[in-house]
Amino acid sequence: MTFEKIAENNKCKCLDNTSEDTKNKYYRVLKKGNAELNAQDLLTNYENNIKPKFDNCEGICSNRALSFEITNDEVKEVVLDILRTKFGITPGLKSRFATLIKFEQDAGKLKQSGDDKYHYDFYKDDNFDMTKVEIIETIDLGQQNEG
Amino acid sequence: MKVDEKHLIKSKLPLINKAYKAIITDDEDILFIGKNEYNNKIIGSLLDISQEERLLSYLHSIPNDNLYFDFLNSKISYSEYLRTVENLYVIKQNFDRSITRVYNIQYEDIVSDYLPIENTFCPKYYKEHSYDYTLNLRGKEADENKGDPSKVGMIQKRFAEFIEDRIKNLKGFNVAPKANLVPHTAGSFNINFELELHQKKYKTDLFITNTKLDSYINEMISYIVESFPRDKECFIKDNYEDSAKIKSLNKLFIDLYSQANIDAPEDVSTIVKEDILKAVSKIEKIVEDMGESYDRIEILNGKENYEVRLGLLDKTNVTQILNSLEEIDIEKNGLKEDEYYKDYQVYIYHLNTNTRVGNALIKNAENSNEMSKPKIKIMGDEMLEKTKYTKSLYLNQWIDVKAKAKKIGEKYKALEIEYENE
Repeated sequence: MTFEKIAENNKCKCLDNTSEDTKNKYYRVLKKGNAELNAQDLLTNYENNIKPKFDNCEGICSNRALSFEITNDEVKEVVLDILRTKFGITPGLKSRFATLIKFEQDAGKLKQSGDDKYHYDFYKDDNFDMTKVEIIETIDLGQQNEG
Repeated sequence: MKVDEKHLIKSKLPLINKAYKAIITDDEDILFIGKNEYNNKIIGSLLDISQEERLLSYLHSIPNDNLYFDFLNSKISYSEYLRTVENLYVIKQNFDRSITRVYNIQYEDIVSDYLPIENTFCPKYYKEHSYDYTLNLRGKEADENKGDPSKVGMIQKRFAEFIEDRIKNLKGFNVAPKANLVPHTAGSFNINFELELHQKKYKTDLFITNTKLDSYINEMISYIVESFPRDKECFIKDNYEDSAKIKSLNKLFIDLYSQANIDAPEDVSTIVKEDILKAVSKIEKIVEDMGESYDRIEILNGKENYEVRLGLLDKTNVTQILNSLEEIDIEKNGLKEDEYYKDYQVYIYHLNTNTRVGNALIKNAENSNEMSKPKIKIMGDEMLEKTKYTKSLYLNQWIDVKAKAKKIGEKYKALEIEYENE
């Protein structure tokens, strides 16, 4: 794998402590208006030309990463609550749908970040595209919330 | 999100320039806190990212302290918070992060698609505990950043003892706690502590970092301030089945032992119950001077940008807490009151000569090696300066007085002292 886009114009070691994971499942909350995962949902702020909120390495790295929530049967309900909170705080930005995926080989690398222990930053390989994710299911957070 | 231009203002008031902390991140920080240049607390959330306009829209608000902590402690939802907060702003930021516009809006101005979903709360994982504590004295002189050194020193000492005692009560841990004072910060009058834990024995040296002693102490503080008076009947009847909070404290206590890989004592509920009562009686000492140069104490945990409010001690809840403790004490040990003034020997170590109220040392009736520290009130309206009642304070003397005593068990709780001319 290569990560030239991640390393572009910075000296931060964003890939430190990251690893590939093709076994676990991850949720991604979709962007407003999307009911299924598409390429637009997997563009980083950096790719959308949004500058980092903070100009330090933490800000620069997270600007080039995508947020996912790791899950399994045991923690699924806790993780879904986190997703509902994300949608619940910013319904004007996030869609009420989240897609459960697995990463294919050479998709990229992950590391846990922030206070939320299920939150992972995903750094895409330079050749990442939609074929590098296996879509398992898409769930409706709104319906779950009301139920 | 579109905002009517009539709300446009020129102000840096809602802009965060320090103590920034993200609470929820999803590619971008979507819920966060911080402070403006005037030290006001700010809560912010991301409303929208518009690729067409190349703008990020944020909702910022400046709450009062109660509202701030009610939201961060998940007591109220984000919707309820936004409906209540008075100072609400939309900030528009370019993709290069320069601020383009600041709007001062009302809750009703938020377009419905952007309103948070009802019953969305600040996530619980935000409640990180730590060994850093702040006592924020509020009201009266404290609001002018003034503090009487002797009073402040007393509060420091007693709160330090309070947190140290909670840890000393954990049998088998071999931990020596020490509460260090750290420099005070801006605010009304802040007293900062950092709790230091030392292992007494090397063989158990590794467990301490994995053991959440702080969560037990912090939940205990929150329990006493918020819930103890409601559980009064549980203590009186010695039946704790109805108290979810006490059950939760018991569980936290047992968890500490399993985290430390030490066998938990068998009588956990008795130990926790006794620890609660000891902790409450210490609260009584911490707030002894409340009402003089400050009228409330806010107990915070965490450092500046991670602060969580554990409780607010004000006149109302202190009265409830202490009355509950006294009622439990009376039920358990019985109350005896003198019908007539009797002779007692006391050492008055604290006396407000204006209010005629203070505290004294007195030897217990059944065991003169033990002393009580009852509250005292000197009757009459004659001046107390240069009378026998101030001799303990200035001449270190024990004083003979006539008083009506209130005793719970063998301990003196209060003395009503008759004023005698010399």
